[in-house]
Amino acid sequence: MPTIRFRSRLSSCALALALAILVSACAAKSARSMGAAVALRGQAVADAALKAYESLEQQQAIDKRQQDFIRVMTNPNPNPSTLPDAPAPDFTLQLAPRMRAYRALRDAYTAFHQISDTAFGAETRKATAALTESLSNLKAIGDLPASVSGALAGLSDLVVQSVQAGEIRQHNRLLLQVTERYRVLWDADLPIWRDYVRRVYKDYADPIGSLPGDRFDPKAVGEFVKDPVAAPLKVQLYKLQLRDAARAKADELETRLRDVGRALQLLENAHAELAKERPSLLDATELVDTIRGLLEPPK
Amino acid sequence: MAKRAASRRTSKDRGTRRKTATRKTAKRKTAKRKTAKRKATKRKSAKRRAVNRVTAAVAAPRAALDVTAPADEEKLKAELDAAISAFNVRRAPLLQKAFDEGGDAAVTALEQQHDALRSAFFDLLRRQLDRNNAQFEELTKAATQETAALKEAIEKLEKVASIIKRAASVVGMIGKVITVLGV
Repeated sequence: MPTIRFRSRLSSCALALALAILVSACAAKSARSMGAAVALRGQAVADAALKAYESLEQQQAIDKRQQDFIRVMTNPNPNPSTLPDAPAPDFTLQLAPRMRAYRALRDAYTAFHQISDTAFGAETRKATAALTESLSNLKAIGDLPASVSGALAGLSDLVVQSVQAGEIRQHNRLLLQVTERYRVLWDADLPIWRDYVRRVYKDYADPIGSLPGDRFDPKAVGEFVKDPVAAPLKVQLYKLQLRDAARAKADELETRLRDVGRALQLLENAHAELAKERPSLLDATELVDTIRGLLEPPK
Repeated sequence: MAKRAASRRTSKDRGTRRKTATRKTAKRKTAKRKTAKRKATKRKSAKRRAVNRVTAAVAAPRAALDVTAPADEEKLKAELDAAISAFNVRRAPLLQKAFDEGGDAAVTALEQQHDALRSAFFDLLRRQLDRNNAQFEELTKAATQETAALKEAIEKLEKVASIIKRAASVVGMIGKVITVLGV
């Protein structure tokens, strides 16, 4: 009976292959899940960088508004018929290539996430199940044993998984190099952007202290300062409020810029961990979690 | 006798034919192996080319990277910052004094000087940032190439399932043909 011999041979072959691939399957599965996790963080880092650049883009309008306000408030002879028009710093040409680069990085991580997707394995498993069913329908072969059909479907999934793991490892190494370059350039730009942000808010916060008290309406100031102090002191306290609010905004933006740099460093470390011969999943998971904690505001 | 000779001839002929057939099959097999090897090398080199493209794009700016600003620039920046800050903290009294001495024109002149100082400061920052602009262009290229390489790999993985699906439909069709023909 050739059919029985064929079936038994097919079963033993499938089981032997399944065993061989099963050994590497665990490693492939973890490479896939870690690849997906790193890819998601990569997207989040690129988004955070883009948001930081958008905030820097907004500084042009903020600086203009603040400088016009200071001009009105410090002019010894304000002319109600002429409005101030302070020049605004334009960094569009510098921001454009940077935003383009981070958009490209985001696209790369989106593709990296797709390659770490589990859908490939599921699709292949489904297709193999359909194939074994078609084979079973053939009169010449007859019904394949359920164990063989299951093993074949699982086997194809495992094969795809190991191919996928190979791709993930290779592209992880490439993304490690790419991320390192992004981090180096972010670090190089960071002190320059910090100087920019400080200039914008310092040139608003510092002159506030020199404003004469008669430039404020004590009644209106009372709405903002509830402390039980004399009117001239309320004006002083209000000036302090304005100065502190400006400094807080500068600090917030600086922190955001610094956090993106840190996140890029952690992303680079996560790629480096995955690129190792025997990556520590614990370390990689910790790095991914730290990036999440850094970029996502606490709830 | 003649029959035996004929049968001997036939068996001899068959042997020669078998030998020729074996040789032909061997040749065909070698040719197939060579084609498969050539295809595999081609595939591998295409993959290597894609990897090399990304690596080269990443490595190229590494050599040209200059992230440190010249000391003169930093010194000038510090001086500009000091001048702007000194004006900032005493802005209102300074403008009042200018107005007392020269009226609106003196106030405008002083404000313009302050604007000029700030513009110089921002120009310096822009120049420092511009130095890295080319590096970002290179990075964009590297990231785009990596995305293309990844998409290629995704397509390759998707093909595995589609090939099996096609095989299933072909086998299904064979089954139907067998049923129709009643084989």
